[in-house]
Amino acid sequence: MRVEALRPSAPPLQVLIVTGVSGEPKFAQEFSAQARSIIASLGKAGVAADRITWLAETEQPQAAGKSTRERVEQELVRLGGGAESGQVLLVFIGHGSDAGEPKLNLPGPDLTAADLARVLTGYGTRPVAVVIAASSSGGFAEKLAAPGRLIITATRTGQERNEVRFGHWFAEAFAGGAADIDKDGALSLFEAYAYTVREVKREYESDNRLLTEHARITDSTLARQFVFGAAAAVPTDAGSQALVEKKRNLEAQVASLRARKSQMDSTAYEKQLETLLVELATVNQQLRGKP
Amino acid sequence: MREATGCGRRATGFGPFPGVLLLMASITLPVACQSSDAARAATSPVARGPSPPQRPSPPWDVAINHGRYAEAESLLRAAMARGPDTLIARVRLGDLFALRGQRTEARREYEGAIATYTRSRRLSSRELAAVASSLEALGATDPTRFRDALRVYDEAIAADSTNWDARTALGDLFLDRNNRPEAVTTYNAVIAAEPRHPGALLGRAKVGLADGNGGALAMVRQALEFDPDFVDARVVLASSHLEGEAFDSADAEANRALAVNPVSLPALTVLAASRLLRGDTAGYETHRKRVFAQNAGYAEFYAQVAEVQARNRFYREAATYAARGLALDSSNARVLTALGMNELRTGKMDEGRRHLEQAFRLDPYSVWVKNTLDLLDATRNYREVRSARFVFVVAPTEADLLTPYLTELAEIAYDTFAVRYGYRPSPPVRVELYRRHADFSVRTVGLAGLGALGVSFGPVVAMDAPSARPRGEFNFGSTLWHELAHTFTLGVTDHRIPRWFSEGLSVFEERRARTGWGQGLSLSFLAALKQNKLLPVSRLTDGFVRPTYPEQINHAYYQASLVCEMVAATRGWEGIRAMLDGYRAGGTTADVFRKALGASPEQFDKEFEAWLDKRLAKQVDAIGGGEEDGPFQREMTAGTAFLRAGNKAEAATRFEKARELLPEYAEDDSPYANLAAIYLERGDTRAAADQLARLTALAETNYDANVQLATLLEKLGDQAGATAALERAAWIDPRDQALHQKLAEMHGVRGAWRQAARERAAVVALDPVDRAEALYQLAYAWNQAGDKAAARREVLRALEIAPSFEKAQQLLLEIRK
Repeated sequence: MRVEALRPSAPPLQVLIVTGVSGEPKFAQEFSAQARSIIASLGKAGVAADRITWLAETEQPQAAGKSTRERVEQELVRLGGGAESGQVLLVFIGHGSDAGEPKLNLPGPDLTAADLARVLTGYGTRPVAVVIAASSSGGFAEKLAAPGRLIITATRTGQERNEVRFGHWFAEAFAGGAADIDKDGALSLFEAYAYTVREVKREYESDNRLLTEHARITDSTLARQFVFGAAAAVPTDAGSQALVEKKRNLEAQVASLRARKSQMDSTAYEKQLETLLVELATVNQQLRGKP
Repeated sequence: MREATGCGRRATGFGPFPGVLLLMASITLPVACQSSDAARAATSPVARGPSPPQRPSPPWDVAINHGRYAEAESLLRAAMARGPDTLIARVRLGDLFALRGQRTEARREYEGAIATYTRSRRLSSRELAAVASSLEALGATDPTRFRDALRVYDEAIAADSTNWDARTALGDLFLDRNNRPEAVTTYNAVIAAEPRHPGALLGRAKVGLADGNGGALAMVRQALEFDPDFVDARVVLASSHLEGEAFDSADAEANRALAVNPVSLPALTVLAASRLLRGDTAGYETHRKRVFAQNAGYAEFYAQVAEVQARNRFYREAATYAARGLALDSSNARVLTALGMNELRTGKMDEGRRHLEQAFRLDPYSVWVKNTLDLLDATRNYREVRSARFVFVVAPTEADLLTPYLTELAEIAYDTFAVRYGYRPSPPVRVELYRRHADFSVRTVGLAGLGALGVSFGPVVAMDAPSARPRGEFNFGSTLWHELAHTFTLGVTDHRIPRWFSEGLSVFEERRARTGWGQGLSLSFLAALKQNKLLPVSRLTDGFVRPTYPEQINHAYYQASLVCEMVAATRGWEGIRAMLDGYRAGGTTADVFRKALGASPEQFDKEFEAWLDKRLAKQVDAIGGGEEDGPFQREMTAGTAFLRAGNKAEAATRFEKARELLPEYAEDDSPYANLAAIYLERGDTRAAADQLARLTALAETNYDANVQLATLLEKLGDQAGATAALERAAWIDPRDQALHQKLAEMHGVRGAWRQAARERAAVVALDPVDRAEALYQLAYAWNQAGDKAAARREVLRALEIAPSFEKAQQLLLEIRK
């Protein structure tokens, strides 16, 4: 039996993960663990291994090479240079600095925001998400801004210089199911970001520490379009197709109803919502019951 | 009221404001330092007269100070006619009119003096001080005049830097406007130059008393040594005795004041208030009539009576008396403040706000009123959640988390206390929880800085929410229990219960409620016992309202609870009930002791002393001569040294000995904590768990010990014990999502689905990232508990967020079957 994705197929995704200079063994372990965790999670989400590249501070088994500025730029040029038009996810994990120019600390010369912006001009309007899980990374948001480009930084400004916990929780977002807010079986970059922000805050609060990193995101709509996760498979017979169509239709109706919630009487809203949700649950049950 | 108590890691409770009643003194400073015209007139800088080293008082001031007003008026009119003190005499005449309630005439003289000031090129320092005093008097109805008064006092001091009376009057102005730092600086400057200046000494003492420093009374007495006829100082002493529920002493001091000035309105007011507190309405009426025969418009009388009533916990009556004052003078800010504050204390929120707003328009310098109005604004969005007999007022962000816990405990408390005390407060009892300690403090006394955790006004309880304090500083369950006990003991005695007895019963009730709750035995208490520093029971209230050493208030709480324990042990619960009946009937402590306990206060003190010595003999021996050097401390010190040196076997032996010597000691550095760590390192989980169980049975705020105990007990297969430990931890700090998740699982495993649902609800309230999952789990627990409606509601909330959430969809369909 042939299967197809319940959602329309996502465009082919390419991923580059860069872990920078650690400074201490503790950070070296943490950065590598975060990179490996993200790679493993993306693999589980259906991203082919040959579409994920990891450049690390030191040579190591899963890494494609050392994260020198030169090598990072080469890899960026390679990713942006082909005929591909799919989404690109760039994740930088490490320490940053900002003494007027935001930088990522790499082995050898640092990678500046200007360096990165220059290389990314070759991507045109191709959708690119840049995640910078580093201290003092806030300044990258302005420097890299461009149409179709999403920037997520661990800090609001370059002045937040303390080591950040963003990378840890961002990797966690991909690893567990808790970040999947809408429980649709897939994780959007927005969901991962929201999860990370909350967990970072919670960690600081539970440690009784003042929050010294305030993450930022430049485009939450675009972030919702970067979606990771194995889409549920359904039979493709005519009956099932009708159910799938019905399900999509009901989901759209729920979304529309929710959008009108504030203008509605609460009793009427709840009644309509329950009707739709029961119908949706019934359709799903029927779909699950299909051989 | 519940203080932050204990030693070491907990707040000492002896901050600048050790208690509500004490702090109320700062709001309701004796009438002498209030700014109303009549009250101020009695203490005008020109009235007070120079201090002994300076010139003698003018004859009119002597006459005024002795209540010979007709003679004073003749002298003043003569002085105005002949000079040279025309201006000063004019202001004093204004003061005299004010004392008699002739406001129009007083105003005319004050305005006249001010007009002279604006016309004259050069006035003496004393004349300038008199003008400033006039401006201050007019400030009662026009607060902008206070600023002018300040400026003119400065001019008076600039004209003669040795005019100590002007400086003292300036200090009084600062104190009246609650600028205590400036007041202290000003008084200190006078005292440095004139150590015998009665007015400056009294002013400095008032600041000390407002700050809760019982030692400040010595300064009042010093002022009286230098000026035995200083009526204001006598009134301050008398008021202080009233606050300490020492009515006879209050009367005696007020009578001494009246011996100097037989028509002193503040002294007569103290006598009236004292009579009222004893339930002697005829006596009250006699003194009231004497006051109003002097000054028919003296609204201050009702303000002062209301404040005394409030200090003695008669909040409803305080509002009633303040309302009478308002009927007499609708523009009296002090009366309006007393009315508004006490309406708020009795749950009349709208009326209270309205009256405080009126007060603030009249006196925008009142920091208490401003703070309280700001608080009412800031907490306008607090949610009200009702249960059968309570309404909980909680910050919206915490309402869902806390109210399931609060409701359960409060309803149990109501049933328990209703049986125990034979009294049922009219529902709903209002319980307010504040996210910021400063807000709770303002709600209670109008100022930040109160060292308490909670307060009961009777039908209204206010307390810190768990978020108001760092984890481990308090237990919100035992605090609620403590305050609700007050609600019952206040109610059953018509609020006539003395402070020490009410606090003692509340702490005693905590200990009876749950293992580990309630203030524990401290080394400092034992040291105080050994050093004979504990107060006799008949004077125990002093320890709450006028502590003379930093830990005394904590000792008073603990001692009072032991008194209750002793009475219950030796006379049965009937003994406690008989005491409550006695107080409700208006009996003094001496009456109550004789009738209910069959002993005079002195006999009871001796009996209690003997009982306490017997009860704590072993513990007192364990600590040796004090907190530092006793067998217990030596074993602890040795144990710690061995531990540091890595000799854990010997360390354990020493800690075990220390534990046997003083098993009640359960602070962070207790033998239990050390032994648990050592045993755990040895791999003896059972032994470690036993130590932690003993520790948590004594320490109500040790969160970590409870969580660690739960982990160990779970490993040992003791699910019930582990669940109980986590439940205890939740009463210390309910803000940990993981704790509630774990508790929910544990309750679920043993089929306690209602409790599981409560814990799942707590997880939802803590705003989890995976909200849909948390709501699903809550719906699941409700469904298992058989509450389909709640399950349906919660699963729909889950699906609203995540419409395709498969588990939730299945549950929805199952619920609808």
